[in-house]
Amino acid sequence: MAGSIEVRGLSKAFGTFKAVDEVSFAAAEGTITALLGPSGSGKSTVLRMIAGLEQPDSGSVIVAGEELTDASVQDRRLGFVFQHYALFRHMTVRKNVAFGLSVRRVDKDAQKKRVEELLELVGLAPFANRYPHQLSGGQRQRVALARALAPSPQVLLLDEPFGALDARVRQELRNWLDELHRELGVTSLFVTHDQEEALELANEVVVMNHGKVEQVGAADQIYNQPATPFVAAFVGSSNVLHGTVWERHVHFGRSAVAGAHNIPDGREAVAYIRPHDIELTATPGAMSFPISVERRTDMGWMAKLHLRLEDGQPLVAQLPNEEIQGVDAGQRLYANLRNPKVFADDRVESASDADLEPAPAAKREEEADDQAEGSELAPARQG
Amino acid sequence: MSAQPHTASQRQGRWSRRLMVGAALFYVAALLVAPLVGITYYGLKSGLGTIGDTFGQTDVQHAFYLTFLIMLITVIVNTVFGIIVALVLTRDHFPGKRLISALVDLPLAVSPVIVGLMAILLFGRGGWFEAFFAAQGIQVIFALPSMVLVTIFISIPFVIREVVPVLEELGTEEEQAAWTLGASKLQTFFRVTLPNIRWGLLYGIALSAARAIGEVGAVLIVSGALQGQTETATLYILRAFDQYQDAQGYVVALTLALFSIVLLIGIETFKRNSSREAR
Repeated sequence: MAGSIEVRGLSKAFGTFKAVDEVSFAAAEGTITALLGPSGSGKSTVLRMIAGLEQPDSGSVIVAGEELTDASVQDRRLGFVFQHYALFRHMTVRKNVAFGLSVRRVDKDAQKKRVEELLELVGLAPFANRYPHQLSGGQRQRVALARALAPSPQVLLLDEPFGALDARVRQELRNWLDELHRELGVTSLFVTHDQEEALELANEVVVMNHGKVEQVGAADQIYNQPATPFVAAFVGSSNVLHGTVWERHVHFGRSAVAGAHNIPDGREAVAYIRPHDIELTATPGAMSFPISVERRTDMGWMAKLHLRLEDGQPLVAQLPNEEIQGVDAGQRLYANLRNPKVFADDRVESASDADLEPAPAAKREEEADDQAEGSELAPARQG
Repeated sequence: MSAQPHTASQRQGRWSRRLMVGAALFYVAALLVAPLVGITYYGLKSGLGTIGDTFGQTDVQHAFYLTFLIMLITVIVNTVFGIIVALVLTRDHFPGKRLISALVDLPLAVSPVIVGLMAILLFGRGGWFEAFFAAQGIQVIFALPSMVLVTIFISIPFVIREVVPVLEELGTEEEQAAWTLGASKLQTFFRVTLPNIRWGLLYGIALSAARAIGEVGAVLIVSGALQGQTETATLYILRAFDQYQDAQGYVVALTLALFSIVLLIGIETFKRNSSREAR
């Protein structure tokens, strides 16, 4: 009952604003794929176009080998889960789950059996006769999921499924969804602005920005081999160091990191350094930087160190406590920077200038303006 | 607040509050309760005999029949079109939408007498549409069609004004969810949208009905108030007092008032349910 999803050259403009620009990717049968991007990157619009809730200006949507671009929402038979659940508030949980079966005039007994089965699956059998407003956020989202799954769709589309929940419930539901997917194997595509969520749940991640696909790849690929500066900055947290290329190294004052392949000498470049890719030593090594420690913040099992390079650029390290015993403000040490991700400077976008931990910042921003997510759509509605 | 004796401003605040409550009570009692008590008293004073006599008159029976017939047609038309207009106003975007939204309130601002006159101008002697309807053999003015028409016009805003905010609050996500589950637009309307707006809609319908029953001015002008033919219950009351048949007038007035009170109780129930559901 699973089918692949393929999107080819999908574009959509709202007025003069290009919300989605030539987006192509494919999600293999039975996998979980994440559409990851900041608010306004067009990811929700892509999902809504796959569902048929939004009509693309050009491009095509193919599910299970079938061209669906011009099919109606109803005929597509795809499961869709909304960020704010969109449960039918005047119906009980049972009626909500049965809705997709009853509008298709499924035999009453079969309906009843399927609903019981799904309520059991999502662990809400005792709540069958409750109304949505009598349930917690996490329970509501599980009802929404059961409702979407009831007609046995080939594909499940989830729009920020955990976006409206608090952190703990979000983590719980994430684990639960992971297990559910293993059990059912329904091809799933979910939209998220939370890179952690994307990396943890998805087999493959499609990173989007400004309506375009930045990179498609497995979670570790996206994290360790970002294709663009945007991906390097958006996925995981990174330090951004500016320098000049010389013999395939980026130089910052008297120090340098490797990795500047294919960048001509003399060009400005940026190196993205993960906060855990920093090794501190008391004595200089072959490729180490002299740094000064400005501040130390302990955060349980690890600590955050605010460092400064000799040329004045700041650097933040996050390391396990046992690796940095005795390190404190005022010390002068040496840092070995591993796995730098280097890009020529002309491709650097403003987004990558974000300080350490851009992801939580993006998260807050997105939650602050739910309408911003809707703003991908709002111009169309307001004409 | 500390345990200090009450300050002057606090004392003043309490007095101004009492004054406000007093004013509100007086206002409601003088303007609403007193007439109600009065009409009940005079309606019942004449005794059961008069009440029986009044309802025995074919004129009275016909007047009530006409009033309720007009109310029924008005409510049906305003419900169907009210829902359509409310849906269009909340779900669609087109040039001139705000103009339509403003026009919906026009009947509240225009005197019913003027509404009646407008109908005469359109359908009466020399009116734009007179020839057309005359050719079809349909009499509009001084007949049921024009009476229904003006009553519909006058009660247009109620359903729309009650349903629009409910639809806005509801949003479109539930409807979209229904589509993704395979429900057609029609199924979605009857199974998702309508149940969600039902209390607001009933409230609007009740207001609309009350307004239709009470209408005098516009109906008087277009109907000609022909006894036993185009005379509604309210027009009967006017004539009864004109002809010094006060007792009959009171009886009919009391009946209409009772019906309105029943509607009012219904309205209050709908309103409470509606606000409870809005949570």
